[in-house]
Amino acid sequence: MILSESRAIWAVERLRRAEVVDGAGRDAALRTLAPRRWQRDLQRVMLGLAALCLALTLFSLAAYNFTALMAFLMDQVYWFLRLSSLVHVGLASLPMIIFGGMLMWQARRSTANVSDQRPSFLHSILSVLTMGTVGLPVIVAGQIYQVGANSSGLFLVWGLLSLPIVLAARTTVAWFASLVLFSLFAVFLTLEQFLPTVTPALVPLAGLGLWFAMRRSGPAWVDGVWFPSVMLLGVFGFMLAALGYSLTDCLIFAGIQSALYLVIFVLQGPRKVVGAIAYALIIILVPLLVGRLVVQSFFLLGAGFIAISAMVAVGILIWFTLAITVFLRLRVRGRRYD
Amino acid sequence: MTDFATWLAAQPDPVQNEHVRQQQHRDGQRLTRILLAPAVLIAACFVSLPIVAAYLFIPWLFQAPVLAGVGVVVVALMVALDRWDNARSRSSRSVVLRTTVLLVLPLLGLVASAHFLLALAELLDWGFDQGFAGLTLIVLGALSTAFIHQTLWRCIAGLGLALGLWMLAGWFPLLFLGPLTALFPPLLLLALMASAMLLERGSQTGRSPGFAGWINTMRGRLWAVRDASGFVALAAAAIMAASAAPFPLVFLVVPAINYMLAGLCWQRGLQVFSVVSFVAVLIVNYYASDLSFLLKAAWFGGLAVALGVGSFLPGRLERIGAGRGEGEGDGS
Repeated sequence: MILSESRAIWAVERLRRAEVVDGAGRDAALRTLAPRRWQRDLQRVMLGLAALCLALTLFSLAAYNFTALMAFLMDQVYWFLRLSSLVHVGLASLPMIIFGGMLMWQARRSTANVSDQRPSFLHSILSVLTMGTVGLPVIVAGQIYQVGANSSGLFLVWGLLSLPIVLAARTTVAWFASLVLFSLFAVFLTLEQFLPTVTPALVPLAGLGLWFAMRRSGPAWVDGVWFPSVMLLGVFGFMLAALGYSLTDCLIFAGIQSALYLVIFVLQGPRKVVGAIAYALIIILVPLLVGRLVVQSFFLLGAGFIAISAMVAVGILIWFTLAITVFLRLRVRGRRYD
Repeated sequence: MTDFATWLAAQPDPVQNEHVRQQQHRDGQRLTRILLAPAVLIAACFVSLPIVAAYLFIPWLFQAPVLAGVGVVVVALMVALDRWDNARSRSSRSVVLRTTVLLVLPLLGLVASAHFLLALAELLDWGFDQGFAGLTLIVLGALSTAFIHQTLWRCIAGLGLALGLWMLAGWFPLLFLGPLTALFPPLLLLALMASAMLLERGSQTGRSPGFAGWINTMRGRLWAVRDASGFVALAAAAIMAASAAPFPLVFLVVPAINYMLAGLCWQRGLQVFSVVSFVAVLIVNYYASDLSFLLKAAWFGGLAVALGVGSFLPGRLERIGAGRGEGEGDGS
């Protein structure tokens, strides 16, 4: 809805820039196409930010340490001494239970209204808040029992425990939050275990696997343009780190990447955006490898470097021209078959 | 709410034809740009390798007159390309060539700017000075927006102009007013955004002041300055909140004002960036090491309550407005 309105606003603005519509006409059109939108937008933005502030409040309290808050209560009530750890974890679970309850209540209410099939804004916010507050009891339990867990363990447990909420809520925002949690797990695991820098690429690779498995039967966001494109660029971004490895490793990674992009290009064809991105990534890999070799030889060749790099630059220009020509030919052929 | 298709159907033929032309043009260009953007950037990196090497290995090339001369040649090339890609001859040009020009022209602009800056540095034996660098960026931005018509370059030049103003504004209070005025540079940028918006609006509605002719000529540049200064103000707020400001939560004012200004000029992209900047300042505050977590919890809690209560106000105001409207309608 927001996207379609934004497109309409830009379409009108472009017409004004082409001077077929004047400024007053544009303003009148925008008032008709997006009336009173600021009120609903502002309401949503403020609600979302209030939810974030609430989450930050809870996390600040958790960071302040629940033990300090509970010390006063323990002095007053004797039985807290026996059950204190459980009470701590239980209290830390309260926000999750409250938000979970609100989510269930909201889901029931929206189920009663059968005509509205899309998840509401409140539903999305509540599902993310419930997922976010799952982390609180995990953090407090870790603090009390001194389990020696590290950040990667926290995000793994957090992600796993919030998976049932994601599956129940089934909103795009909840899936995205889950992806963020598992990405954080992969990043921290890489840092803690000194794994190769490309290890976090497993998350976007898993995303591509999900896209491949569910692109026909899954929800609309899996088969859309954005999800596979972002995952593709994510894999490519992490794989750029491989350029810093030895030449053999670099070539192996480039080979694996090319095979992956080639499969996606064959699946999607040259006329779809994801296919075009896969093709672009294949043709970019070659100059990246050449560039690595040229930069490596920078200090060896001295003044001769100017001539060699000039020749390489011309070669790269020819490579891109050929690649783009081939792509345009493939597109024309694809159109004929369609 | 009217659908865009319904609105378009009610428009005269020239508007409809122009929209169809723009739509076809955009569809064809999108895929070409996906391929050409990385290609041009990587090719430019490779072309820059021998040039950088030449500057390093041939000492006489790195002299102020030579650098300035190369800068002038590059600017001449930019102007020629800009004239070649003018509005009148667009339909007869190849999409691939036009997209290449679209991407190459800003790169040439950056190369020319770098040459002029290096020539100036060489001539004045200049070390890095924030105020001087800011002033140079402002002059380069203003001059290039005046001579080049391409939209992408106007955006980049507008960004340079706003960035220069930020540098200059950040340099000024540090010199004269002390570090307590950290909020001053982003607020100054917001003032620039508001004035560009008012001038643009005034030129469209015919209510601009005495220098109306000049504003009409500059109208195409005003929106670039408006958006760029809004964007740089947001970045400035997020970055400066992370620096040693006495109380980083005050920087939340900047995205809040920006959100409202962007709403007034229908700039949804800037509104989204305002929310991103607001969240960034919040996160910066969460990680601020010199505040206790108890104090942070109190502030975030207060802010959550204020925002939560505030979120009901727009709807309430709308209902009051609707109630009044009905009252007026039935004569009560």
